[in-house]
Amino acid sequence: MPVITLLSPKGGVGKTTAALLLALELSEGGASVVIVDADPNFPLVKWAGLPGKPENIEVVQEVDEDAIIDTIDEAQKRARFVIVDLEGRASARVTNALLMTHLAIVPMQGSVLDSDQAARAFQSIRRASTAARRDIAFAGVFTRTPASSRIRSRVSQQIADGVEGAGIATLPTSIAERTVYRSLFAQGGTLALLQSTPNASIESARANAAAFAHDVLEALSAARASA
Amino acid sequence: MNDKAAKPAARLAGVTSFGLDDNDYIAPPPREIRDKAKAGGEQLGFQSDKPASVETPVVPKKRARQPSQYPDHYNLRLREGDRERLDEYAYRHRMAKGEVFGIMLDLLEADEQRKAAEKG
Repeated sequence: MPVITLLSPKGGVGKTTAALLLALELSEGGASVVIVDADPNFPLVKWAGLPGKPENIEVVQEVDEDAIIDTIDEAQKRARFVIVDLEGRASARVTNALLMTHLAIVPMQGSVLDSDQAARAFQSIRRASTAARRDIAFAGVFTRTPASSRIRSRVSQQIADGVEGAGIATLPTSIAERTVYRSLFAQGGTLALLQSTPNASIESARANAAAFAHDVLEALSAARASA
Repeated sequence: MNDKAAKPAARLAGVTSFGLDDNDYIAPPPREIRDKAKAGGEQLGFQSDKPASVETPVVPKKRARQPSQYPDHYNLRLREGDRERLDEYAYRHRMAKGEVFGIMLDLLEADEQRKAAEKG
């Protein structure tokens, strides 16, 4: 039922990876998930075409900016979770998807360009909230962070401080830059099914994905409580 | 015991309650909300991919005025009892009803001409 939308006007920030990791974690917990792939390149549709897709994940493609509302509506009626992965571009598709969203997640990397675009994304969520006359919950998530280190660069730290200063919540877990995540799109399936990958890498990746999914659910619960 | 069982059980604690609550349903917004959101988004550069529909104003088709086949300055109004009076008149004067009607039109025509002369 809850609709979780990943958006950012900038491409390459990790929206699709975050969407897939979230879907995999939720499906592993037994929930049915519909992923609405609204990226014209259809990376998640392609992933679904590879072997190993869990039965309880359905991927639908939708790039029409008006039809996306009905697609999300149909999806929320038949699945426990709906995850909308939008393209890395500012478009009316983003605006319409937000109107159907419970929780918007804005992935951002620790760069000035990313933070500018993330700020636009947060503004668009606020505008959509005003138009929809309801609060659309949102949170930022830092992505593609170094997997080996917990130390942030100076720029990253300043951006994190700026986001916090603006009163924008960020998920405690960052999604690290991992080869394992890229392998998912090449091999298909789930993290557990990945072959020719060291077990240690898979375990850390799974732990990271699980923590991220946990944060998303916490954010959803918080949004629901404040609604 | 495998990896699945070893994972913390509370990780997906929010799943059950969320999925079962119908209050979470978001109905598709009506057109005016969509338009308002779209306008707000466009101010931030979230543009529509669809070409703006060129709204051509609906111009009512002009019809050439048809020449009147019948005189249009006769406004006949049937009041209660008129039909009976016409029938009565025709009966009393032993005339056909069409003939009576012709007389009535003559009278009306004369009346129109008189009014036109007064105006002119």
